Amino acid sequence: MSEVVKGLVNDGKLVVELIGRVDTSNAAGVGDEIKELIAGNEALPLVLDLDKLDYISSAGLRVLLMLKQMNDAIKLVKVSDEIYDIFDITGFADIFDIERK
Amino acid sequence: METIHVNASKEEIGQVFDFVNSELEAAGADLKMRMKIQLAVEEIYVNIASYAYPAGAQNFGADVAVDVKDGVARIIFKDRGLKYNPLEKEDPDVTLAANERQIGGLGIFMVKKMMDDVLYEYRYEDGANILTLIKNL
Repeated sequence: MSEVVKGLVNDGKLVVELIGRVDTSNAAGVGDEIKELIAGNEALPLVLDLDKLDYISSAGLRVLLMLKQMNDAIKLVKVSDEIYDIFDITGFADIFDIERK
Repeated sequence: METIHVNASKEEIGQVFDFVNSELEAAGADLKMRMKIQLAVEEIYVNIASYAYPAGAQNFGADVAVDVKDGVARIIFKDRGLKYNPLEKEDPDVTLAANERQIGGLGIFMVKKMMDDVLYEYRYEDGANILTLIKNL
């Protein structure tokens, strides 16, 4: 696991924390790590905890969209105003179930 | 105006970020502002690194310049690769449902939304793509 992705099963949900940055340099690896966490936990709702996410570029948005397409029951929680702005202008705010900070 | 020259490889994006960030910080741009600009810088630079110089073609690298004047930041990218205006790319439909979404074009769309203005020019005398991001600080 990298320092960017942390996963745990909590209260019947798979909670994946994204920490720091998801950009061009690491997006593919982050996507693979989340897929590994999902493997074996396919039946669980997926919660992405973005409390400690500082930066996400379109490469990171691609990863989120792929996850949504894999598992429609995905929720993004603890989303900061800055990150929410990015979701808003790209229409991701309409696609995803989002809980803001 | 400060300029750096890089080899137009993805590996150098950190160098580009550091340069742009320190110039903007010196000009008094706050963290949120620097984030927005960094997003745009990433999209434009990755485009250049990915497509400007096809395999086998001569790589002239890229220049990145930052100019802040009267509260307006301009970040100028210059490459001498294939003539390409990313602003001509059609905007994606951001109202579609997740399973119909296409991810192509999203990056440049974010750039247009994040910046106050984006200009593109192809300079024939030296075969250069010049793309300028403009943001009021």
